[in-house]
Amino acid sequence: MNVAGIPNIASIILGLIIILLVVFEPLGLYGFWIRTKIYWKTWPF
Amino acid sequence: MLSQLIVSGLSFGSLYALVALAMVIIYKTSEVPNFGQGEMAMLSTFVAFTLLATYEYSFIVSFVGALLFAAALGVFLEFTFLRRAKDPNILSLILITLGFEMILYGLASWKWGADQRDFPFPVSDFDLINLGPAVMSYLNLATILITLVLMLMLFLFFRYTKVGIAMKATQQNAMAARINGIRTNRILSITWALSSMIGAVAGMLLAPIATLDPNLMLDPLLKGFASAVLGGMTSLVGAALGGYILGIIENLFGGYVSLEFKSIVAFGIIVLVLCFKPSGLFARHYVRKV
Repeated sequence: MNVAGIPNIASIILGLIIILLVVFEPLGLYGFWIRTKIYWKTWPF
Repeated sequence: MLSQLIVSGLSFGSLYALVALAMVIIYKTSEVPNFGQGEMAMLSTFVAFTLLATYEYSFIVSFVGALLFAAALGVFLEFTFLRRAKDPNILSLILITLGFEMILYGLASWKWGADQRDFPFPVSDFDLINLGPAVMSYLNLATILITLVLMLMLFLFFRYTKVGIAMKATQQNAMAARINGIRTNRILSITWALSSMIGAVAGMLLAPIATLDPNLMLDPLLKGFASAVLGGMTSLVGAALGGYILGIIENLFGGYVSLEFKSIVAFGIIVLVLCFKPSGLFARHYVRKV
């Protein structure tokens, strides 16, 4: 494995991150924040 | 000179027309402009190249192999990523195609490196035939003929086969198609496979003219997109004609106005079309699906 391939792997990983984020967390960090807020508001339930 | 420019514009235009067709087929069914198209075609071309050069199969076998690979790639993208998206809107689907494009680009440069290769095509780019005032290489002629045959096959496919008619039904109204017993998900997968295969043909026809490297389809993809916009994103005939028109206009611009600024023509055309006739030249009306 040589160093020259690293930018390509970076591009693969970046693409994967984009896809996985869109698939599993379409609202991004905001979705996480909403979930936290709802959890806090309705805490004992 | 004029006829020469038009003739060579036709051969480039048929490549743009293929890319535009691939895009429009997807756009009509799922309203997603597939920006991964170019890289999918590039990867399929690399597969054909490997089959040809490394495993030394005949051209036909490699061609068919690459087409099968392209179909599998299209189904893979639809099945693994697009179908899994949680409450998808158009933007997130476009983002998925962009992410897929980056993955494929990285994979191709990782596996095949960034060196430029020659794609061995059985038809020569250097032998010319005389068409009266213009000359045309055998490769250009083959490009134009293959494109025309492919378009005819697409036309017959959409008109006479059950799958093609089901595709049209899904394009027009997915809900009603599902009520009538069409598996729209499966039809969508087949559509992606079909579009990816058309893109792969464009890639394999382009590779002998350009050189085969991971940036092969970057420019043709944008030009193909421009011609799809020019002809109308919702019309197959429009997209094909848009490709030819764009190829000819671009070549005429390169011949008579400025060779350096040839590549801006396509993008200028996008701007003009979107300003003055946003539905495109050949699409009948702009329909917004709700």
